[in-house]
Amino acid sequence: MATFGDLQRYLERTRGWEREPDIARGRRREGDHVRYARVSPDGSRLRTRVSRHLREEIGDDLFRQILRHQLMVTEAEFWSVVRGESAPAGDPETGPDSPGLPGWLVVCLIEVAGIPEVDVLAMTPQAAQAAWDAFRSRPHE
Amino acid sequence: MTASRARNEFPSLQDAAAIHEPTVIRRRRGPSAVLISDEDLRAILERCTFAPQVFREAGMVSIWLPELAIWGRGASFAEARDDLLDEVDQLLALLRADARFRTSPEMVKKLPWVYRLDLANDDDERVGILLGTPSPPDRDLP
Repeated sequence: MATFGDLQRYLERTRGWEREPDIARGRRREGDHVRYARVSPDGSRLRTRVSRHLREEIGDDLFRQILRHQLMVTEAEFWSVVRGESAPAGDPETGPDSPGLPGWLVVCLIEVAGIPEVDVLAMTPQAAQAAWDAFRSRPHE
Repeated sequence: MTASRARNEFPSLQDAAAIHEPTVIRRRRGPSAVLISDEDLRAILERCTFAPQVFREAGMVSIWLPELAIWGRGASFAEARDDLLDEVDQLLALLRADARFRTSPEMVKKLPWVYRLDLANDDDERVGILLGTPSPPDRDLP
């Protein structure tokens, strides 16, 4: 599983990625992450960030989103850069995104239905939806 | 309406906007602008909904926001949400500071979602926009 150290290595070894200044100065969780950006000639940017805890695992689902939507590379390309290999031809695509829990559903289950966060976050999207439907169908005072 | 006429009649155009009458302001060179009320803009932007995805993995909670391709992460859902709000702050500040980034083709597609968050009065409203219960047609999972 990829760590933030791997992600930082990729950014350092790929041309164009530079530190992004912390403009908003993190009102809530200052300094947990370092941001990077890669600016294209048309002004568009790829953006990502790296936890300061470089040994921390990113987690497969978040890692896939970062690869696909922030770095815009395949998993094979990513690892070939991290390991210092030349980029392989005909890389297999990054695996399919696995659906996370919808944010609104997490909020409803924790704050409205009163289900402990640890239980909610262990649910599949289908189980979470079923739990919410069950809660709504129950008579309430 | 021309820009010079709009300048002279601005108070009455504001009154018109308040009763839901938009004014298109044209310049001889350059793009047009439209004056509408804050209320109308918010109503239009309400259609730009967010569908954040929550992951629990590697002992941490992550919230991925697909509409803006940013994420928040923390030891609990509340921490991940606050981290995501910081990321929103950073993105909005960056867009204000960098016109090239704001006008880049990829970002222009995302601007309605950006405007929606930027118009929020405080963090509570932003949380409601990002994590509030969607209207009934969007509620069921695919």
